[in-house]
Amino acid sequence: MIGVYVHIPFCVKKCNYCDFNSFDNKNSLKERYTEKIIEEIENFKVDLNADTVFFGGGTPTTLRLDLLERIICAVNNKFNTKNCEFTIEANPATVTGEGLLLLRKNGVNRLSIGVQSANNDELKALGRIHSFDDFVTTFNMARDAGFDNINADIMFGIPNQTLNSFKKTLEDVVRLKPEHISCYSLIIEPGTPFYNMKLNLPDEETEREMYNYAVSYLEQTGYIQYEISNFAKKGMSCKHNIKYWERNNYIGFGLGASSLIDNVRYKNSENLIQYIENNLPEKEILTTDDALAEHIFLGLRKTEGFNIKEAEKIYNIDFYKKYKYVIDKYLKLDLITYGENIALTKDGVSVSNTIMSEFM
Amino acid sequence: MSDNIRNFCIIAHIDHGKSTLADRLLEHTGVLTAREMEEQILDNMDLERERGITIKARAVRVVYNARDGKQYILNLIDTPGHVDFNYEVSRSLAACEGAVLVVDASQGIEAQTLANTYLAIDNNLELVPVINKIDLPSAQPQVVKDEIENVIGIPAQDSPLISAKQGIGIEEVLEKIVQDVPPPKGDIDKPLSALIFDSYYDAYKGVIIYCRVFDGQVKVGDTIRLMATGKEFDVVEVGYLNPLGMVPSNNLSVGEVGYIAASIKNVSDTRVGDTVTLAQNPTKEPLPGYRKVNPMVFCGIYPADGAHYEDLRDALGKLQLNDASLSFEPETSIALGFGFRCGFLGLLHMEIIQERLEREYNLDLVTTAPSVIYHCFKTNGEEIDIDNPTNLPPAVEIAYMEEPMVDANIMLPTDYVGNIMELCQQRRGIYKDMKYLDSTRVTLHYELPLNEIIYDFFDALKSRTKGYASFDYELCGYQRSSLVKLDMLLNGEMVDALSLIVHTDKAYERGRRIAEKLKEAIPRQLFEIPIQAAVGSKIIARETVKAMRKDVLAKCYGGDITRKKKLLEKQKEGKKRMRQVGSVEVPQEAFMSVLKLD
Repeated sequence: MIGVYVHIPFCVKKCNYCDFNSFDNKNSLKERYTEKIIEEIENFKVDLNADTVFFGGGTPTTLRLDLLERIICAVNNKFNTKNCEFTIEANPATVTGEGLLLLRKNGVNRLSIGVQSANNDELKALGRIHSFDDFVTTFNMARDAGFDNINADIMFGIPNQTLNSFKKTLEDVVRLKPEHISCYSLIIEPGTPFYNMKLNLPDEETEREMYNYAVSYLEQTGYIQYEISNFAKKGMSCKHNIKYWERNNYIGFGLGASSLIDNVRYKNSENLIQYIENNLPEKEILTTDDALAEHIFLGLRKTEGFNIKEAEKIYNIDFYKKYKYVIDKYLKLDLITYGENIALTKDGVSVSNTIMSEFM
Repeated sequence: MSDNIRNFCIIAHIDHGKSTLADRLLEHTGVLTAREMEEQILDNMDLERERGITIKARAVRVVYNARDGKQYILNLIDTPGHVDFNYEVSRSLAACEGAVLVVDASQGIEAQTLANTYLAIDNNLELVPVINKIDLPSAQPQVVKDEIENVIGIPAQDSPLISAKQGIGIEEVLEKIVQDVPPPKGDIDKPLSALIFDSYYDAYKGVIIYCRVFDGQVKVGDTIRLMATGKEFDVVEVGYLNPLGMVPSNNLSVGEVGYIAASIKNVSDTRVGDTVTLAQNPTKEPLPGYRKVNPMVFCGIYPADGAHYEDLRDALGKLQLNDASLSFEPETSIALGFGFRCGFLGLLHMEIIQERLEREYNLDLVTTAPSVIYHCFKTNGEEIDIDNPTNLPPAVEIAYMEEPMVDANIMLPTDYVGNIMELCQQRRGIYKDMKYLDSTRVTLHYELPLNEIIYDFFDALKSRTKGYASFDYELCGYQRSSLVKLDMLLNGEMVDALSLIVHTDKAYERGRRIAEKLKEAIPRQLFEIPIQAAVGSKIIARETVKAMRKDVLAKCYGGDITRKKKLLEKQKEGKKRMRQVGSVEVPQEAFMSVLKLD
């Protein structure tokens, strides 16, 4: 079984914080892109069954419906997608009820909606093109269309955000009872409009409070945290994302998409024209050390961490012996737990980069 | 026979054009073709050329056909210009009968002009003043001539007015040398007596001695004795130097300047200032003035990467082959691991060595704050010398301490006098006197503790006078002083590499500033780090590096793990440049940032 990722790099408008591979104003290229990605899917050499499919972006739903449907069909034909977790990302007000029905008809059974905030001023600051009401409408339409597995992306650390406004966002979103909530902290990346703007960002203490509040509030309201930023009702965690963290095989199609197949990583061209005209995937054969490093830092993203015995078996190492210095140091600081599994504590999560980097 | 020899050197303040004039003299006497004429040929170390300073003396022999129709052999002995190398300068001067005194036509007399002039006068040299840079629009040759007469007290009205850069007046200088500098005296029949003024290690010939023969002669096959060390060697080669290298000859005779190679392995056997004589027929009295030079400034030098300890030892050993005044011995620091305590003649010497280690030997270094030698008198009557603050006994065992003092002469425009007096007072200076050189310039004479000038005194002096001040100093003895050891603590643990010995009155201020500097230099870590300055058990200053709150990966998107991995790897790379001090990671820069507190 394999995971399939399809990248649709188009948006109505790029957000101020976005450093993903996506474009606005590229309407003319959408058809050519569709042809190319279908060709890439159909030419994939190995026949495999998929158990997860994820359409991400960009905003996949900004693609014309007939084009989107053709790509979905190509995936369905190539990989036996029956009983799949089939997710598509959508932004509020980029889909109609009719469109949602069409997606359902083609096997899409999970919808991930980027709401980010329930405060319209904050949405504006982020450069989003929708209001919170737009989200509620889209959410209800999705329910009407039969989507019984919906994720809402929310964000903290937004310019001008306060702990109270974040609390309200959580309440307003939870009230709709999505099955899954992703809760990310805003990170100002180089090359984004935010990078060069003077922003009134919540200070680190407040951000930490926001995160801790989200963790306990979502727990109280019946969401189980299974990864640094992901929360789900029982049994509703995102199987596709778990594949990334557990280093299962996955194939990525489209601009800049990555694949991991038996410890070989491929990455498509990141330049749109080059991808369409002559995609040359980069190939990287991961060494055991690379794989181990990934195993650790991806595994630590999960709330449960990862099983030590399993890792020892895969990489033929004595885990404690190899990382004694780091383990002892962080155990002493209460930033990790170490038993059958190794995992980050709540405090460990907020400084996870530092901890992970020491395992590299 | 030695009537046609002239042994001379050139003395000047830094940047007054000494090296350029040397080039022109060589060019004019025709020993170099234009192609061979690299700029400033006497300074053949890269570093010297770049910094425009001469570190090691060199001697060159040229032939000049003078206007009187006779042919003269001119031996130009180049001298280091900086105060750190004062002793080397004085030995070079002792090898000469005359000195060309170069003064910049717009700058006039500066601190080093005077210091070098006094050295020359001490060595009974005939001074030949020369006014350089007369091509500059700001040149005031008459003012400078008067200044030379008033300040130094030698006639200067008929001094050659030259521009070494433009090649103007060079022959005038050569004529002056021939006319004014006396020929060497001496007796070829007396036992050999030759002064070592420099030596260096050659990979093929062993140590090469540069010397000036005062009496007698030396030839291949002779057995020489070095009088200070008593060691004897068989002479393999003698000769003189032209600008392009060594020219072997049959012998070196009275009045001549040249080199001796005698398969000597160790440069420290051939001490500058020592006398060379013959083992068979030794002279009774060595030439006057020899003394062993002792380092005045010390610091710890550590490899940034502990794995390069042996490389550092190797490099220091190689540098020492050519620089007997550099000392080093192994030391261990809890914070920095294995390294060396190195001794230098002064601050510039220290900087030069550090730079050469990094440049020529490609080493990444961490250096600790420079220290001087303190005399520590213990209550049990014992007396010890302290060159490393870590070795200072506990306060209760100390009866009293002494610190080295220097006589400092600062020359500056009158406008800045108030400013600089204030600086000297801050540095615990004792005012001696002030002399007006003319209506716009004065020389300030202060007695200052050496430990107050080894940090950033020179920088402070320059910045407070817009670069117009010049400065020169000489060790003048020890003085009883109230000194304490200032320790820095990170997360409660003392960092030995950051300890300093300071005057009691300065401890609080310095401790506070260092704590502030460390706060800037140490990145936030997973826990709060108190930075404390302490004297004994008393905490006198405190800062805190707050704990890091947020350091999280963004959304891992579309399986793009590689990018995240690179981020983490980069973070890890950054850590490699850190030193683990107890539980705290300290960047190497932090150890150095405490040196610059102004």
